[in-house]
Amino acid sequence: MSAIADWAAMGGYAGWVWSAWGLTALAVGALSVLTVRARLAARARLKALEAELKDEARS
Amino acid sequence: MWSYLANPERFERMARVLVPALWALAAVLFLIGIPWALVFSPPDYQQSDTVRIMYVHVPAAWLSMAAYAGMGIASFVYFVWRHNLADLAARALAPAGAVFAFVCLATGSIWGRPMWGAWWVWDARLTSMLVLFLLFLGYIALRAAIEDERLSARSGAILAMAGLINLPVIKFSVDWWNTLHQPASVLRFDGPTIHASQLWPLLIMALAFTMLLGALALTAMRTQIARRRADMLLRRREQRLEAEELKAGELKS
Repeated sequence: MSAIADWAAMGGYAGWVWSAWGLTALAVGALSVLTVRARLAARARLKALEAELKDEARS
Repeated sequence: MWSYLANPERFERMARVLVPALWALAAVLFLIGIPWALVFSPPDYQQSDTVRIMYVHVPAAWLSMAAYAGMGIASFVYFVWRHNLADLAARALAPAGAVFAFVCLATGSIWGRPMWGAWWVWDARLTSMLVLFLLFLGYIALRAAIEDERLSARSGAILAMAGLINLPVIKFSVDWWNTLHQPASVLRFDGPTIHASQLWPLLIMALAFTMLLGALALTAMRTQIARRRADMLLRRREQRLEAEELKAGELKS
């Protein structure tokens, strides 16, 4: 067995180790993406609103 | 000190510098910690390579508890001093805490099946951790269910403070009761019992997750500040339009 395949086999516990790490990456990754997307959306909404109010004040 | 920190503009200035720094630090620490944990650290003499699950399970456990502690303290500050920023902090920590608690429970379960022969046992450590996860979900649901911002914040603060009692129960459950879950091997009064070859990657991973939690919580706080500011501007516009209509009506009559 090659060294990489040997390592990936995790001493016969590959399914357990990789599923635990995969699940962690998925959960933490999804949380990070959702948090950043919410921030960008909130900032865009606030900026658009501020610009709209500025226009209204001018007219 | 609370008043100094409670200024939203000061917070925004601080967050603008701190958030990118925390993301960058988390990325660097993960780049060191992940290969160390998955490749360079040795397998355990009893658990073989399943010990590598510990490098995500243990930091997730620590950080879910740290997130709850932060939530409880922020809730106390809000409850006593009525600083809105403290309430925002508590609210921002809840989703991240819930995800970390879930990761802790799920990875523990995945480790438990080959090592204990069971996905789940109702022992004191596992049960108290499940209670922590449910407390996060309860807090999130409670905050979402109450529309009145002040009432929502106060009710959430009471729940978060009451739930603090669960933290020492989780920590000392392995000492107070006869549990299947192993006792502490890092945070012990007499020092860690875990070998340095496994302790260091564990600490690096824990630090990486800590930076990530900080970045996520501060980002979520900024989201809420932007939302509240937008809502306030909309309310002001509505009030102005109503006043203008009233004025126009008066002039006509």
